[in-house]
Amino acid sequence: MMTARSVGRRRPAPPLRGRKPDRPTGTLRHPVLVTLPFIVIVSVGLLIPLVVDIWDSFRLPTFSLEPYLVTFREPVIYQSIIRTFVIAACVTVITVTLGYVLAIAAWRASGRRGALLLLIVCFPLLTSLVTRTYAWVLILGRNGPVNGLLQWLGITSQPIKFLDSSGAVIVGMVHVMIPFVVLPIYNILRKIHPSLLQASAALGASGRTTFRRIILPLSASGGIVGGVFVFVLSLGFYITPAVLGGPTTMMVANTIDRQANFYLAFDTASAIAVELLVVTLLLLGLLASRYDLTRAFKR
Amino acid sequence: MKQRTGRAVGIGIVSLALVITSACSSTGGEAGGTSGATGGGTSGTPTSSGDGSQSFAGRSITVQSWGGAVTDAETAAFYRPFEAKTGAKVNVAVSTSETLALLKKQVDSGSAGWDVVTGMSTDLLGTAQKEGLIENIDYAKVPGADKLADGAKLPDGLGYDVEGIVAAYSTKEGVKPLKSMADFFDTKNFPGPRGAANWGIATLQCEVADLAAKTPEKDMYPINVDSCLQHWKALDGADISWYDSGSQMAQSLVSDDVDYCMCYDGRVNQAAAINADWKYTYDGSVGFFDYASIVSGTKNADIAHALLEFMTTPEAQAAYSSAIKYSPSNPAALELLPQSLQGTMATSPDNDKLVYRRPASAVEVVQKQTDEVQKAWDNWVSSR
Repeated sequence: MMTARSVGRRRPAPPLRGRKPDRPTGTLRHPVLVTLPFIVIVSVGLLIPLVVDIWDSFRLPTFSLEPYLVTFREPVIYQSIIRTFVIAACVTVITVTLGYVLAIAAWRASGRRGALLLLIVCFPLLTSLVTRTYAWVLILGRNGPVNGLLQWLGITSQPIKFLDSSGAVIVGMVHVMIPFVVLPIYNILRKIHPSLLQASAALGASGRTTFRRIILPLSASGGIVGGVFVFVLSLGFYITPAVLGGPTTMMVANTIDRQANFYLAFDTASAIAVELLVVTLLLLGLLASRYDLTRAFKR
Repeated sequence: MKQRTGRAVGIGIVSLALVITSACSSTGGEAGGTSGATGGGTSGTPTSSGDGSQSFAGRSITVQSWGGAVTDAETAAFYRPFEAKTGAKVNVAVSTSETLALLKKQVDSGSAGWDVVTGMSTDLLGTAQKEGLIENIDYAKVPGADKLADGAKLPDGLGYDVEGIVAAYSTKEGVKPLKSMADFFDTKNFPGPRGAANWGIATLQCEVADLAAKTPEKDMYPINVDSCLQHWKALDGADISWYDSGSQMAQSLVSDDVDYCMCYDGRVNQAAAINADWKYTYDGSVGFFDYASIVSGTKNADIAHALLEFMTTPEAQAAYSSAIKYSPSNPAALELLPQSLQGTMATSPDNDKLVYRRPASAVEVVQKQTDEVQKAWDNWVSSR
């Protein structure tokens, strides 16, 4: 906890002889130099494939829009694109709601307990995605603990089929995504001065009013940033829909996979990817024009 | 000072990550069992030894394999012994459903990293041949191919084992056992959750349905996708789990998620080793070869042919079948198997009568329809 508490208001370092005074906390002397490896990786690893992808999508050398038209003609393709955005939106709403509850719990809990809660929240990140997803297969399976509990309680008499449904996919994705919202929300909650809450209570506000009028407005940017993370990451999910979902819940990554690998239709696969990218950028642009997405990272 | 130390640690972590990344990427594409059992001769050029086997000491070949239990069995039964025999090093590159796409990218960019691909169906062979990804096999160098079951020797593929799509059922209480594949499609008399593959084998699943509906063979080809899907629609409303991979299939049986399964025999055998409730019948089943092919433009065609020849030998096939529980394509290998295993093999004399295999005359016809049948299947399965 020491780091979390002290980063924000660190005392200035005692001036050393012959040394320039410290730069403002948290800034780097050579920001470009330090980030250079990442810039190189991103340009080589992201931009070049992207250009190839866009190139492929027009089925060059004979320029054609056919690959794009195919995506609007084939129900398997356009349905999976729509489904992907719907599922990503559901996952985002659920994750942000749950994330708020967890982040506030961790924030209000005393130091050690709050840290423990955060640790538990982040724990799933330490196991492989495939392992976690298969764990849900067992949990939600016909003979899994959920069905066992429902039957033991007498709520159902027959096992219910949870798998192969968008519900199962959403559950699996929320589980994976929770840390991505809890951390930004918690980070921003920490910056709310306790005196604000005391003032609110002193003025007679209920817990709900305090949440609605103080906590939520002050931490909304954390929730939005977390939500954007979750939404964008959700659009590219492959393993979870493949394992927990079925043919009727295929998401766009699975469709791209099938186009490229079953039919060797790289042009169609690329066209779907470009469409996904364009829609995502449009949505992000729309959001960025209404909210300052960098706010959660500012001090 | 603390800040400075923190930054140094940060930079350290970043550089470590970079080193790891570059180290990993340099071995990429050859992940998995790169075994080092290099024995045999010392010269760098192929030489013939007394028993007619060649020595490829100092050279290596890269074989694509489908990963998991399959790769383990192939490595133990084919690649390690081949290394010991010839001195060639066999690198194994693991890829699954992306195999043809990766191969196309390799061949198109003129830098084929693989020399041999395995686990090809006749449909995949058709696509690979059309795209110019594989070469014809020079059977003068693979004399063992003549000893294999009918249909194993294709111009561009060597069938080294036989898999069967079988009607599997749980023998747990309250589940009526399937007597043939036709029962799998009969939800009235055989209710209960079912499982089936959805990994791009629509032409095979059409044959399964046609056979279950007692379609005469002369009417089966070219595949009539509408009537095939009509047979499958008998299962509309049934609770079906669709599998994307063989491991998912086996896992589903192990955890008793379904009562019935249109499953691969080897996967049922694997599951039954853990969950003994699972049995299957070859009645109404469809068998198919797994083919190995030589990649276009390989510089190691000599080693590739020698490896293919090695994969026809009864000893190697028996070792493979013992490990993976799929059937050998060389009948002589059956006798080398343990008695208990012989009865479960699709190519055993008793089962061979029950297992249907696509006739050689139909292979090319179906290859031309693969995409069309698969697309119709995809549309049906994603909207049911």
